Formats: sequence, C-alpha cells, structure tokens
Amino acid sequence: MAISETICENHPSFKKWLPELANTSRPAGYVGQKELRRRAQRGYARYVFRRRQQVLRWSLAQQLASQQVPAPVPAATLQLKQRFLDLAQQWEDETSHLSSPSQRMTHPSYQAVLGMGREYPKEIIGLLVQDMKENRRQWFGALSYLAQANPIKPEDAGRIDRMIDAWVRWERARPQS
Amino acid sequence: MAAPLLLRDFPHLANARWRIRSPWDDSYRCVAWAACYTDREMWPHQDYWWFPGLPLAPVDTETPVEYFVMGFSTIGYRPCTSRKFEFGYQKVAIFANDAGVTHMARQRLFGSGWLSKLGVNEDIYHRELDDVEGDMSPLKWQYGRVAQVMKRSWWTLIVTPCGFRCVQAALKMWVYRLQHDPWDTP
Repeated sequence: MAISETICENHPSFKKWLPELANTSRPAGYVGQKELRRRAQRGYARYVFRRRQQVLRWSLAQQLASQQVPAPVPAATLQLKQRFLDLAQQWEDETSHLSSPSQRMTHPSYQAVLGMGREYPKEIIGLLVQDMKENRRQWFGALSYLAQANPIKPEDAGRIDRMIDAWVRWERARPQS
Repeated sequence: MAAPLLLRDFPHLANARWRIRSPWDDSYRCVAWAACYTDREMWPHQDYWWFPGLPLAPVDTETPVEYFVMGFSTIGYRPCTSRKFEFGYQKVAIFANDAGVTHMARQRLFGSGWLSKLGVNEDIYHRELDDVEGDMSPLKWQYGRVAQVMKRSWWTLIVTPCGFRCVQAALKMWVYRLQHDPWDTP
C-alpha cells in the first residue's frame, strides 16, 4: 500500500517521533531516522487499513440493505402447484374429447381444483390463469366462479384466444395484495 | 390425441373404418364444426358463441337437445328421422347421454360418412354414427347415442355463408393433409 509522505507527516504517530528525528547527538537507545520514519509509516498504515476496512463494511451493509432479494417460495405453495398441475393434466386427459362445458366441469379433477380454489382462492386463481396462458386448458367456468367476475366481452364469447387474453389482462390488473 | 386414448373413449372405433382429417385445434369443437365454423367455440352457454337471439342454457345444468334443434333451425336444418344419406340433403346428428347433449356430427356432402370434431382434438371421418356412440352414463365420459338427426337441402347450403365456410375449411384441411402425409392413423 503506497502512502504519501505528506499525509504521513501530519499523523500523530508520525509526529510522536519528530523530536527524535531532529536530534543528532545519538543518545543511548538511539534509533536511526530511517527506522523512526519506518515506524511512523507503519502506525499510519495500520490506521489507514482499519479505516478502509470500516468504510468497506459500511458500504457493503448499505448495498445489501438496498437490494431486493426475492423471498424464498414456501414449500406449501410448491406442493399446491404440483397438486394443481397433476389434477389439470388428469382433467385434460379424460375430458379433452368432450364439448359440453357442464360435463367437463363435473369431472372429479375439476371439482377438486374448485375445492382447492375455495381454500386458497388467490393462489389458485393465479395458477388457473397461468395454466390457461401456457397450456390453453379452458378454466373459464372455474375462474368466473372463484373470482366472481367475468372479464370476457359478449362479442368475444367463443373466441378462445380473446377469452384467454381477457383473463390474462384481468389477472394483471388485479391487486396483488 | 394418441390412438390408444381415442380407442379408450370411443371403443367402437376399434372395429370401424375411420381416419383423422385435421390437425389438433382448440379454437373450435364439434358443434362449431357441425355448423362449419372453425374460428369459434359454440355452445348455448354465456361463455361461448351461440346463434343470436336464442335462449342460453344455465351454466350449471346440462343442455337439452331442444336448444340445439332451435339453434340449427336458424341455418336451415329441420328434424328428420332417418340417419341414412338422402340425395340433395346434408344432415347433422345430435348425440346425448343421460345428462344431456354431448356431441354433434356432420354428414359429408355426398353421404360417404360423417365428420366429427372430438372436443379440442382432431376431427375424424367415420363411416357410421354408431362408431362414436358409447355409454349413456355421464360418468363414463362418452358420447351416448344419437338423440336427433336434422337435415337441410343442398340449396340452403349453397345460398348461405355456411357453404362457403365448409369449402374454405375443407380446402385448408386438404392442404394440411398434403403437407403432413400420411394421415391414416390406425
């Protein structure tokens, strides 16, 4: 670490040895100028090192405090999602050939998803919209029931792409509290 | 949809002559396909498109055949008793189980079989209506039996936009089949 001479000479540990530096009679226990200067510099260097460490710790703490660290996903939420995806896959496998919305809604897997929705409405509504967007499974009935809303415009009824878009927009606009 | 899954839901297809006619498409289902629409899903229900001015069925109950008879009457179909081909007429069949309507199939123009869109899965050609019939119990998730057949004259087909939509959809699927040969699944 390079330390400038000017700064060193103003430091107390340096000044402590200054009278000795001016003395040329060389009493007992005399320490040479070079050694005195070295000792003064070492004391000052130690001070600078500590101060820098302190500043570094403080700035690191500030940086950590200001960072948005994502909260870890609770295990219960992961289990809920996995259970939902299993039920959704089973529902799709067994009813994809059906056209009647009422018959598709009476399937046990659909009813199980509705049951989960009554218990965890916020999470299940989010999962339903996400699943509809990613896998195009049609959860319109369940969403209307759980959200107590129907964002689909009458002129878009039956147009699956527009219906999915309407629910995705509704989900984005929903307060996330 | 994989053939084993099709045979699970339609056991009569195992001994029937049938083939897949279109790609998988979730934009429309059987009722829309019977009315020659391929851009919308149809059902007498508030979430789906239905013929304007007709009553809609409640959300939580099954739909009786009468809703479909009324709906298809608006595009020229009239109830009839025979499911056999009659020259000069096109027919549609309404399937129902113990709970209500489940499916619709449309007869090919020259009577050489029927076209069924299997939910969101592919649409298939099958020789007889019996080929997609199944159990009457709603808990078996099958189509039940034919509850009503309706017919309309070729003239009605020609003078309505329905004829144009039929030709358009047939051409689209013909091109698709040319690109994705071979198409005969089982």
